[in-house]
Amino acid sequence: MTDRKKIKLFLVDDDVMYLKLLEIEFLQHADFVIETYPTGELCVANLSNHPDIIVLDYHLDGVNETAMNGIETLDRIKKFNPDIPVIMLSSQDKIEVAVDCMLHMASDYVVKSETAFVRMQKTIGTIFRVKKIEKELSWYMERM
Amino acid sequence: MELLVNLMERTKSHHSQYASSLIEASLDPLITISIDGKIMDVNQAKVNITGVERKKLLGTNFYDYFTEPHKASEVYKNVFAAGSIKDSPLTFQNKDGKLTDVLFNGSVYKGKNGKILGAVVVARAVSGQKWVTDLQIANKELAFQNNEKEKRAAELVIANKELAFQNEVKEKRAAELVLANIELAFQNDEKEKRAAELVLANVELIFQNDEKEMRAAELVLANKELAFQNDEKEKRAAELVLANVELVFQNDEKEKRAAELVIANKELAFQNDEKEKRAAELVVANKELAFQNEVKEKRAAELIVANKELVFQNREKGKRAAELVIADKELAFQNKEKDKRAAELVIADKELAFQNEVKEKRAAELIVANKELLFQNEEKEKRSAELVIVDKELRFQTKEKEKQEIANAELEAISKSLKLASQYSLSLLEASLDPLVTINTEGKITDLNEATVKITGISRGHLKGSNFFDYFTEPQKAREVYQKVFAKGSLTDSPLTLRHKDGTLTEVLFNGSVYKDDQGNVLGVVVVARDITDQKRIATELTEAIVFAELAVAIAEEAKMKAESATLIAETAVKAKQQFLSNMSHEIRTPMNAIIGFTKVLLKSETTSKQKEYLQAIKMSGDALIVLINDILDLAKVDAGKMVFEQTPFKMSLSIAAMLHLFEPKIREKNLELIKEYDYKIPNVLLGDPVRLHQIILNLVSNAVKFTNKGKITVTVRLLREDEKKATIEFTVSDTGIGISESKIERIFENFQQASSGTSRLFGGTGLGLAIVKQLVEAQDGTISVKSIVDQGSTFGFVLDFLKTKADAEFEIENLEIDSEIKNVKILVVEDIALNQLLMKTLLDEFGFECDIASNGKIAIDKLLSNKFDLILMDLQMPEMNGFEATEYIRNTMHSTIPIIALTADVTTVDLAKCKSVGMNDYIAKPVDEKVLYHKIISSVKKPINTDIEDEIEPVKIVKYTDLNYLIIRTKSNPILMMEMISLYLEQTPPLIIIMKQSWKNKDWKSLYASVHKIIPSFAIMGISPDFEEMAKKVQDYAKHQQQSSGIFDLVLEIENVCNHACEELKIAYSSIKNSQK
Repeated sequence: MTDRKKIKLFLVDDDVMYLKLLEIEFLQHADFVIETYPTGELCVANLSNHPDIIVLDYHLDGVNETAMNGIETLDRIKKFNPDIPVIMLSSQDKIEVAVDCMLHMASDYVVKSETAFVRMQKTIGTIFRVKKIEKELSWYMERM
Repeated sequence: MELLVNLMERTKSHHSQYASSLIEASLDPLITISIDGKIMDVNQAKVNITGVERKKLLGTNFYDYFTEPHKASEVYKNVFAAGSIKDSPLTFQNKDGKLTDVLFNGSVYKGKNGKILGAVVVARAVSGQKWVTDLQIANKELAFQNNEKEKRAAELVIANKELAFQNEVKEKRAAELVLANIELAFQNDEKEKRAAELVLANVELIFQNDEKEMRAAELVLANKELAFQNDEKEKRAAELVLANVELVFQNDEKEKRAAELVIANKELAFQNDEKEKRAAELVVANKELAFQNEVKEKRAAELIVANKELVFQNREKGKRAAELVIADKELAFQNKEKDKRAAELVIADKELAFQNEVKEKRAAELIVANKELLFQNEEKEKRSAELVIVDKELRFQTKEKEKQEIANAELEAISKSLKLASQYSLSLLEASLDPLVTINTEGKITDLNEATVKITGISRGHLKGSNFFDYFTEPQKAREVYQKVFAKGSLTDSPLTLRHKDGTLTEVLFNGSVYKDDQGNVLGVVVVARDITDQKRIATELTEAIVFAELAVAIAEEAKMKAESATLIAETAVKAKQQFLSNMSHEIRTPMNAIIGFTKVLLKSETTSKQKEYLQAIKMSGDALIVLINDILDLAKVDAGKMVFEQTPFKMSLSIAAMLHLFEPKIREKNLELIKEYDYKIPNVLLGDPVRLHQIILNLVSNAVKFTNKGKITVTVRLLREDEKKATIEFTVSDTGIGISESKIERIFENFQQASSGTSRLFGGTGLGLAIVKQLVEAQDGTISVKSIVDQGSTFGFVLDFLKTKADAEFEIENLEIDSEIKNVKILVVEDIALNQLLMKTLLDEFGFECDIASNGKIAIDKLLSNKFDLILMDLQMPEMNGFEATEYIRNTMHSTIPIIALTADVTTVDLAKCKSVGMNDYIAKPVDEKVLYHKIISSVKKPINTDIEDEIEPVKIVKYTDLNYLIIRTKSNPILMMEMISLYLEQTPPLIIIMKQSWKNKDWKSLYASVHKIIPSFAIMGISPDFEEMAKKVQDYAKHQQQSSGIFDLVLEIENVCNHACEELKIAYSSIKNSQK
């Protein structure tokens, strides 16, 4: 179990500063393989790298209006593989945004704040725990 | 020989000739041999066989002519011995070597005395005969076997010898056996005895045998039975045999019959075959016929079809022919028609031609006619012109007539309409539902309408000429009404009640007006009454509704008022809470001030040790109480976000030491060890709020002391980072106490979570300690952490930044030597409470300062006008004129810059802000700490124009826009990561600023929003002041609501400015990090 494959994490945010900061945080606090992308397009183009989890900014088309926004990217990811958990990240603490994200099958919605990183860490933990439980359940169900 | 000779002689005599010829004729060699084996006579066969002449043969050894002479000799010896011999095989050897196998039969011949004279031997040649060969083989075999037997005999001889030897041995043995026999005899006796016994046994056996015999007899019987049964069976078998014979016979018969049947069958089969063949032939023939029939049928069918087709075609042809005939006829007809038509057309052409001619003629005629018409028209126009003139004349005349007629008609119409009008008005009056009455001046009814009749129930005739008021419930009032009408000329809406003759009352409103004749004389009154029963009802209802509505409104208003008052109460309650806290602080601190102050004073006086102990106890309790109050207040303040931190220069090491000193007695009392680890790299003097720092450490250490019964308490103060502007210091308080369980660790910072168990504590027994600590640390942008293991201890740590300063610490707690140079200080104490007045006076006297007391602001101002003071200690809450008012007066009216230090028990932020705003220089919280008081007085007096502390700090803050602290924490001081982050910022920010400005200019709110939105997070990362973040958020807000506001552009410019500065600073920081890397 100790030499299991490291979790591969995609971080997607058009704010490269925040992206870098997130990467630093993740590298310091968790043992992840991290790939960072400043646009949704790049993220989607690299889905073949098989990310285990994706942290996706909601507001990807902020400055570049032609860019794919977070929800579009989310849809593309889910189309590629609905099993990839996606945590949406946004600076807007708005219920509509959260609901929108959840309706598009996001695993969770985290507001960019001081606690964002801790929340994401917890969320990721929860996602993998749930996945594991689901896997076990299906294992048992198969044998029932 | 003799015999033979005799024989021969006798034969000679008797049959001699015959015999000898017989002998000679015998093909078998006949030989007579003497006893000594010599040949005495031979026959011709012998001669032939041996090839030796007869004479030579005679007298020779018989055996000499044999291949095996000794065998031959044995043969004749056997003959002599046995008297005869038969078929003894021997082989003659011819003198030329030829061998002849013979069988010898021989017999002796005896003389007359029976003496054997010799032997006659007859040999029969067997060579060439089969049996001879067999015999030869057999002989050979026998010979071989004889050889074998001889060998065997030889062996047997040896064996016999052996046996002989053995016999000897046996004889010896026999001898031994004799002995043994004797022994045996004895044994036999024994055996006989035994035999006797056996006899008995035999008897027994015999008996048993008898039994067995009986059994055997029985078996015999059984056998007989079986034999009988067998006989029976045999009989039966015999019968069966007979039956079988019979059956066989029958079978034979049957077989015969069967054979006959077979033959018959065969015949039948043959016949059947024949029939079948025939049938098959017939079937074939049938098939052939059927096929031929089918073919014929098909053919017939085809023929039928073909016939039908032909018929049909014939018909068609017929039809066609008919049609053709018709068509022909038609054609013929059409041709005729065409011919006719052509003929007609020819006629028509002719006609047309004729018509054309006619038309042309007509046209010619028309042209002529037109000309005529034109001429006539001209004539008519002339005529009409004449007529117009006549017409005008006529019209004029007609108009004149019409005018007269109209005038006549008008007159008639007027007269008619007048009539109609009077009729119309009459019918109107009659039709009216409202009673109409005309009354003359005497009040008699002159006329009335049908409604009046109805409402009164009295006929028109009766009514006319009667008194108007008779029909009302209140005649007097009715009279007054119409009199009023006469008097005023008209009257409206006068309420009266009409009475029907059957007693029904009708409420009416009367309108009345006088009518006059041409001269203006009043003829009477026309009164119209309106039935207002319904109106009245509605009006009543309306009135009621209005009343209710008014009531409801009143209730609603009341409710509203209540709600308002409730809100007011709630608001005042909030205010009251704040006020209460303020008041409590004041009300409790003031007496506490006196208690503690005087206790301190007393402690300095001559006292016995017992008294000193008691006084210490009083002071301690007082201090505890003050701390409690302060805690509550602090929490309230932090909750309200009103906590303000001072930025005072202070000496960290001294501050910590002095504070820890307070715990020493308690620690000693509990037998604990206090370890202080102070990092002396920490700058000596720092800018911060020592009081709050004390409070934090105090709370932590007191907790540590409280919860530790054994071991040590370690307080460490470590410099984490230091740069030009500030130092980041980590404080930790570790104990070896009871620890905190994992589950509780997250809750300990909540209010009242660490409720005091009631045990005595040195300070702070409110259970608010940690809550306050957390609030205080976080309010100063610090971080607090806790690690704990149950039963092993806890470690509380917090990190705070302190700005560096070049200023010396303004006061040193340890340095309490009275400065002689500034002894001549005159202080005005403005304080209303006598106790505090006394306390202040005592303290100041002790310091050697001169002092005067004023009970309120007014007195103070009076005193200021007449005396000169160096400093004022001003209480805030006083009667007549409070501290604020007094200060304002002093500063604004008297324009005095005299240092004023506020004495306040109420240290809420509001008051402090107020203090500063009215122009006070400093403040001292009650209960007054004498050291603090002294230092504040000294510093104020030394620097009469007291610089506002914040003024000192402000420039420091403004110079630097960025603060890498956050980045350092985040990257754990990893320079590479920091450089990466900074370079990203430098890369990202300038384009964003450009976009921001551009989008503002273009009023592209969306883009403005997005760019500012993206800039905001970088502020926090690069430690840019939250003020600018707020600014950016404001811009974002404007952009979002797309509001044009005059202020935005300033904000945008400001943000640009900040970002540019930040970029510059970060570039420097980047290169410095880079350099340090090298």
